Amino acid sequence: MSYVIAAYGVTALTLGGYALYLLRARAREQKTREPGQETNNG
Amino acid sequence: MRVLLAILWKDLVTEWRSRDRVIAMLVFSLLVVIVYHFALPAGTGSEVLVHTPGLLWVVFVFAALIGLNRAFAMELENDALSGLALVPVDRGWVFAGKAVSTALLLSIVQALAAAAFALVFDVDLSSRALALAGVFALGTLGIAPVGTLLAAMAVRTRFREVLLPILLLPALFPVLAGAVEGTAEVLRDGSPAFASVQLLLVVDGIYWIICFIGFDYVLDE
Amino acid sequence: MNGLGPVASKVRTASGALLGLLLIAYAWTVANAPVDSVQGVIQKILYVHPPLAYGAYLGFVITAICGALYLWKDDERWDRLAIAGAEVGVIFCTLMIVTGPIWAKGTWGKWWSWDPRLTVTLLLWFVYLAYLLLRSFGDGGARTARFAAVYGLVGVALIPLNYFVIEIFGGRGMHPENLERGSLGDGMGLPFLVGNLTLFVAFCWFVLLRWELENLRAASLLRAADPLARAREEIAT
Repeated sequence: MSYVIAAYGVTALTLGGYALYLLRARAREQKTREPGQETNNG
Repeated sequence: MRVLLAILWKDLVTEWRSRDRVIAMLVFSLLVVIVYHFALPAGTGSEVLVHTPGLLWVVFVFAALIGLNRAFAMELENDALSGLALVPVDRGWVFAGKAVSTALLLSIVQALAAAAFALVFDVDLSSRALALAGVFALGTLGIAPVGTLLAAMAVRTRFREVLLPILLLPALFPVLAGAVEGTAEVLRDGSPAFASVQLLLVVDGIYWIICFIGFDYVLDE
Repeated sequence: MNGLGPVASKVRTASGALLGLLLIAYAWTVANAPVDSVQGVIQKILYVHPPLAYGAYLGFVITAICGALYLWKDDERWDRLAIAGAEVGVIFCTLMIVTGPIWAKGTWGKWWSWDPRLTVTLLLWFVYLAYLLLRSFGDGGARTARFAAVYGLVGVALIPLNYFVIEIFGGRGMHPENLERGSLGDGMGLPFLVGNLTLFVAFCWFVLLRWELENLRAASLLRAADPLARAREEIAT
């Protein structure tokens, strides 16, 4: 059972972390993109 | 085709005048053989013979990396790479000239390194010299095209000396597998088996075609 | 506006929404999947390991095809999609290489064997790791993109060559020869299907998101390099 948890756990954590990293990087890009604007039309 | 000969001639003449590439490759190979001597347990002929193919090809690959790292260095220093790119012919022939000159230099180093290996470890390679030379040549013809293509890329990046082995070694698996197996068969049976020769021929052919075409996109400006 | 075309953007939104549903179904079906009579509960790694493998191979194929399209059409968007394919492919491949030995340790008793498929996958992983290093060590311009495209094509050409080597020199594998539907036990088909679907949709979502990020980065680089265009845009808004 611990093997199964290890396999799914490492997959979920890695993909989850990667998703967070991508979303944050995108948010940062969109912010620097329109420095003068309040609203983000993305 | 005339471009191939011109590039080949130019490379060999400059190499003959300075001899620095061949000497660097050669000294390095001999040092590796000496390191083998100190690092490996002393054994008698037949024990060493089992490991000889692998040990030899490690020397050859490292020697090739040293030579390839310098293959485009001179062109880079004189900005001659742009000049080569401007030659109004198919750039594949420029590539072929470079690859053939690398293969020739590597063959010289291989012959001398194998002789040194035979002396240091007291194994008899000379009675199989012809068959060994054939397998070495087939392996070299596989290393040279990919090595030349990737060296032309690596030379124009940061950390080029580090990047070249990282790019090249995983790409060499098919040719090294065939060459090591073929060398082992020569040492065991006197001649390589059909399977390894076939593999080397197929891999060499595919490498040459891909690299010939791919070089067009690597060399420009 | 975001960094994707209208179609790709819609596909990403849809796949993101679908992914939420699929994750629930995935967890539920895997938890309720029957326990294998021979291997025991560890067999449930089946529902994550092969789907990761398909994602990895798909990523590398995308990289090679987009690299070729970039060389052909000279359109940078293909190159950015190639980056996305390589990066997501490397992550899926890493996870496959991690989950495989976990399964192997539990069933074969050892972490690693030089099984043909393992060997080829490991080599492929190194090739695409080298691809990403080539990108990061290059100057980042069109030249780097061209080098990477050529290297990506060399990388896929290596897949059949490596299999050819293994076929010639033998080496029997521990992997089952073929994952046909019939080889799955009763009740295992559905979780396997759901697992494949979930990780495939996740793969698409990741690739599209990574593509969008790369497009946004390229756009902001372009703006930074061209103050005139930036001023014009500010006046327009």
